[in-house]
Amino acid sequence: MTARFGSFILFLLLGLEATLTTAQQTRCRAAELQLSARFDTLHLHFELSGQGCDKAARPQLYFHDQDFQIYKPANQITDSLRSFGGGNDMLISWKINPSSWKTDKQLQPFVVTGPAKDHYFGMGTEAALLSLMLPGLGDYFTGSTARQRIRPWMRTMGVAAFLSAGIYASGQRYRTEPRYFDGRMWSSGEVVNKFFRNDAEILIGAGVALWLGDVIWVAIRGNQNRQLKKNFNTLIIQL
Amino acid sequence: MARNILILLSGWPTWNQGCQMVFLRLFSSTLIHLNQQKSNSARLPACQRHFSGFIFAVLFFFTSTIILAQQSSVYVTRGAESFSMTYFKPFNKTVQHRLIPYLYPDFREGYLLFADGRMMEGRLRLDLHRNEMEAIVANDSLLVTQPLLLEEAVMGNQLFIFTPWVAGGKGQPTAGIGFFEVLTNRGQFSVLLQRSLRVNKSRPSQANVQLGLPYEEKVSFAIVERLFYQSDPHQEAKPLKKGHRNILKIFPSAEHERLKIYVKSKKLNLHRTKDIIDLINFYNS
Repeated sequence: MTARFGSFILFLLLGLEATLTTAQQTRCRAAELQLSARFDTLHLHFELSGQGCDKAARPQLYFHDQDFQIYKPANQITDSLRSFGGGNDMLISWKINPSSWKTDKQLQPFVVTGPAKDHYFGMGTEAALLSLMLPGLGDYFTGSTARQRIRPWMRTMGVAAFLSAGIYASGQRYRTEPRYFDGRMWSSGEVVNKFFRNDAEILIGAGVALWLGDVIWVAIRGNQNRQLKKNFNTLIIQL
Repeated sequence: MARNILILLSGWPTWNQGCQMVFLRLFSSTLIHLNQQKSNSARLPACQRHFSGFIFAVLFFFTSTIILAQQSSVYVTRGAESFSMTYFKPFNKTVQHRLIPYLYPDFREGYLLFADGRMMEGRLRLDLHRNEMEAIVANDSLLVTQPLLLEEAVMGNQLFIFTPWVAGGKGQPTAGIGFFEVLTNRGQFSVLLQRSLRVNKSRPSQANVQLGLPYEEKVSFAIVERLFYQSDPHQEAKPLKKGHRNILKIFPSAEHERLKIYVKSKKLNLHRTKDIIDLINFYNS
């Protein structure tokens, strides 16, 4: 009964994760950001995807640096490439102002598609609790996962595979019969492992390490979101 | 007492390194000598048996003298209280002495060429920390405030350009601007070298200030070098990934066969910067 209930919960959580993979598309957001420069102008190509993009306000380009300080480039020109591509392709051009852009600052662009006060950066450090419940779950709440090399579902499957293999190996481990000599135990039986020496400990350890790694990763991303949100609401430097 | 020990420990790394080495060498040789003497002590006269001990005592006094020589005293007043205290002299080289933010400390002969054709000849210096080009033209000292208008800057026999760079590709791109040294001959493709000064300024010790000791500031720095390439002189620079496949990827596919033949004939190793420059010079020619 308990095993059935456990597998039901696992199916429920995996189903939830599969739903969240598609649920990321609900808001109108900029995706496939691509930067290029020509002479003294910086161009940002991106696609608007998700619901409500037709009603969305004019997309605004912002940058943040390594310390999550927010910058807003002045005199940016937004252009829609819809007529050429047939999709929601957009282009924002900005003439670089080297006097306000400090050369030690590396800028990462992000696009605000609606009103600035409603811009959602993603969940904060509390998303780590979700990853603590199910590895990979918190990633879906901290931002786009489209460009991640190791996708969250891969982490979920990895942890599940390591842990289940470790539990299976632990169950299959046994000790051979002890040897007796003259009515007394001569030597205790040897431990026979299923896969390799100390297989259960190594596999469970790898699974737990992967799980904890995901929790830490989500906590870092959540913290970045929190800092971006805080700086976005307090101080924006004009570029 | 504990405070004195702490001061002693904090002063220890600021010792002259040479004195430490000499002391350690002498100390170890004396110990070896003592060991040898011990085994032969029965056959040696008393004066020779005690010779090692004498050497050790002299060394001990010598080192303690060095310790005392490092010490200074200061008269400290704190409210109504006033007392004299002894401390070890900190390593008091100035920050400027250790941290030179320029590529070369002196100005070098060169010129600045702007996009509108203006040319300024003089002496140039590149500030790596601020990423600025300074110049002395005739008797005026100048700073290039609009570097995007700069076509090229030649300093000695090195060519520099100012250009934006983009890293990260699709998804999460990162952009920056800065001066790059051009390592290849001027042509369509260029290999660029970016030098940046990474400075780590530690928080100055508040305790020293409170105790009336000289203010010691610690700064560690490193010149970080990154290779970039530019496929068009008017486009952004991109980070250069070394390796045969990565290098060939930056060229148009129609040129791959020709370049592969050149790499094979010259036995180029595209993990080496020199060979990559050779290949790009060949492409530009």
